[in-house]
Amino acid sequence: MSAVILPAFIALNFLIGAIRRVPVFDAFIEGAKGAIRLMADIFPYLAAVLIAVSLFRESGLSAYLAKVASPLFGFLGIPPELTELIVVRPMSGSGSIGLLTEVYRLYGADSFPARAASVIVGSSETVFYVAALYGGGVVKKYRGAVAIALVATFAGTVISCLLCRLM
Amino acid sequence: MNVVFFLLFFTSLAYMLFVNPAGAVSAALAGAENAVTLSIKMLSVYALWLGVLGVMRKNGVAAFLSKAFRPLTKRLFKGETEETHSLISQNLAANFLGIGSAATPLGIEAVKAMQGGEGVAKDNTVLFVVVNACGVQLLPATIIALRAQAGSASPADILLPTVLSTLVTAVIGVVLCFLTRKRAKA
Repeated sequence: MSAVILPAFIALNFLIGAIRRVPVFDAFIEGAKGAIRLMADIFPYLAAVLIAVSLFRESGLSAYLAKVASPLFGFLGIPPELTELIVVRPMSGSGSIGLLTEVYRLYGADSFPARAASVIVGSSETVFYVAALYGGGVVKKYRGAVAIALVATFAGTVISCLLCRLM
Repeated sequence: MNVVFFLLFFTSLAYMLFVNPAGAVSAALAGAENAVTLSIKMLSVYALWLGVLGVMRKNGVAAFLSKAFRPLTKRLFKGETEETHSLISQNLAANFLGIGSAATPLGIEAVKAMQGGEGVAKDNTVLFVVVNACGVQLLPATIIALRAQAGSASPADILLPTVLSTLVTAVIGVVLCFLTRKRAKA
């Protein structure tokens, strides 16, 4: 299904362009021109966030934080096996996918922790990454956007676990 | 972001000084290396999607998408220009379809348009970033594929709870935005 969406979407765009006699090549170039400048604007933000995240994980601080937080998480109905995943989720997309596959391997893909982990990862975003990227070079002060997104994401995590118990 | 960055960076480094000082610089460099590899990957993604976007602008699809999402964006993002609404609508459409790679460049352009050179995030920018950071995705294709690979009996059974959870998360985010906004004005 989703394998079809992307290519079909692009093909459809080109087809509509051709039918409406749009100079498709020129229009593509016009758009693609922005790619390098966009990347140059974003790179420093990306580097800063990923360096910080790498330090956080490699230092063992994220695992430590996960251990400290796990009683509280248990109280909210979050399986203790998932604490590190939840700590890493807003910071690193590839990191959380890595931890997710680890949960599959350890507990089986159809276990409760695995299903809850799937829903948690699937229903959330890499908050810090989105914030750094979208602000890319323009926004200097976020006025609470990151905090709001984190609170909403955490509420979503609790709800994910609850839904997995029910469904 | 400055506070978050400082806390993350400083506490990690300080902790590492005691536990594993030799690994600190290499961990930082590993992060930077991730950024470089990711940038190159994303540059290719941007080249493709900004190109397709260029076609969408000329062939009327962009205008169609923005019309489809207009009732929603008009209500949420008041006082923006037609062009900005179009960008926001396309970003939301790409998110819903699960084309995150297409959503990102659109989102960055939308933020630029909303800010208009202003450095402090405007109300609409805060809302927009929150909606995007809450991950309004309706088809968790990657996760389902990963579960299938891990030998799940019904890998797609997480679809419904995921969709519900993502919608609830987004609604909570939007409500929080409006709540904090009022308090700031009062």
